[in-house]
Amino acid sequence: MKTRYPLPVFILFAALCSYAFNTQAATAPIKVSSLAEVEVEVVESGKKIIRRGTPDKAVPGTEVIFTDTFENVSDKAAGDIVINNPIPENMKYKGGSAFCTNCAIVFSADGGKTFDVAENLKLRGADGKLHTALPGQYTHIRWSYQGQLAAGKSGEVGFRAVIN
Amino acid sequence: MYCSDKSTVHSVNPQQISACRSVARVRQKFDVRTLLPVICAGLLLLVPQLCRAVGTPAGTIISNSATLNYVIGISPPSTTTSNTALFRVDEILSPVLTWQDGASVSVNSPGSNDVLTFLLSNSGNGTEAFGLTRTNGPTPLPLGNYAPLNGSIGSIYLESGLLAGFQASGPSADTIYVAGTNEPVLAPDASMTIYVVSDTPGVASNAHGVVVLGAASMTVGAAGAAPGTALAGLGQGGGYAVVGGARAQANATGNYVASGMGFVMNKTVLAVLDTQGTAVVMPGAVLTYQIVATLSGAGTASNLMVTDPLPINTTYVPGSIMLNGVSKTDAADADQAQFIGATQTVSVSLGNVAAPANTVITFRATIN
Repeated sequence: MKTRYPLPVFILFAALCSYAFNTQAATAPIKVSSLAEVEVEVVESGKKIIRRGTPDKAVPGTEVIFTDTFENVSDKAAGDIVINNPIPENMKYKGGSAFCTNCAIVFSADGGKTFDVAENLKLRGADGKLHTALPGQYTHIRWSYQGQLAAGKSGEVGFRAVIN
Repeated sequence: MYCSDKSTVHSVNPQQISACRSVARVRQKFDVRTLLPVICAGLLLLVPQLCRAVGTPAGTIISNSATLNYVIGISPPSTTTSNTALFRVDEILSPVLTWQDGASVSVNSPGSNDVLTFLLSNSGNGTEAFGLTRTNGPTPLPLGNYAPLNGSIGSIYLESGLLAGFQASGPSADTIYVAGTNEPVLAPDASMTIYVVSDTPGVASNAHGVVVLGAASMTVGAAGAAPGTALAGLGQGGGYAVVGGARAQANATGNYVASGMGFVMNKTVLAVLDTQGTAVVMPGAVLTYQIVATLSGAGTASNLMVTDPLPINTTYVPGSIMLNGVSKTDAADADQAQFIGATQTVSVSLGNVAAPANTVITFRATIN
């Protein structure tokens, strides 16, 4: 399906994009990067060990580990750090897998409109009643970093999800 | 805020779409035209997801990115976005075959072109072609079983989809399978009915004929490889083709059973006609006897002969034998029926009769 946009929309969009990239590349005091990995069992020196690697056999049912690493590259401490990560399309969140250090974790099951801790997260079922949302129904994860992230320090949050 | 997040653009979650819509309503500055592609892309992606039962289609790109909000000093809150981590969903190769008949298919012995019905399904997540093979009477063949022969009209047929059930010919004819030419190609979760057609050699009644149908993924190097084997670049969409737990192949066994016919004879007095024209059984009354010979099951009864000695104290009415409503002579000639005077017996030679069949014989006798 082809959709025509007026030229000004393109120009505005391009300008916004280049501005965003430039500012982030040049001056963003916090760097954040996302990584997708799978666990693979390898045999080394006769022992089976689990290593992480790029998702090479990512068939439905495969569990993928997503890690968001953030680093304060400025010379000042940063506070009120909140990381938002939508569950990727075509994947289901694996219950209990969200991890971080020194932070609080809440979830959304309504596309990011409302967030709560897992046990309080409700979703209206087909019967019209509110039920506790199942991990596979989560749409977003939000981590709130406690306290300040000192200059030069980094942190890590992440979760596991299974390919539908 | 999530509507401007690039990972939301890939979203197909309906709640997310409606969330984006409501944001657009609230924020007047946000041009709804810029939101349209998001909604359209979301709705388009929603369709295949609803149709999907076996998993994300091979070749789908899965993306993840995070946004991070922070405050430094007295600066206003800021947001930064991660790179987008991308990977491709690979293809799992997983055919499934099941035999559909439910019970052994009854056949004549010898017989020709009897059909076993199988269902081939693709439980993988990519469109895949499958090669078919049949094994007649796989070893070790248990005692009492036999190896069917490939059907004289053809060995394996693919359902044409024009009319359910096997049609060898006609406008809705099914397609004969030729290896290397017309391997069935199945989309994820799709199925096709496969017919195995067999001739039956001369075997003992109730012997079982065993045929194994095999299906194997046509991706080079996949069929028979160890589960988990990943073939780079051979999956749908350019990713890996990964051999499933059943080695990218499937087998199902179907059975025939030779003959196994039932034969029942039922003799009744159909009518009585006494000398007064009423139906009183008395000397001089004429009885019309009817014998119904029913052949059930499947197979062919060879040289089937029905004989019926007359009851004592009755006299055969000459020329009264009828076979399926057609009069027959009493002589021992080519018309199947005769009355043997020496033994006072009505005898009908039916020859070779294919089951199921019904034969009706009537004759008359007078009470002495």
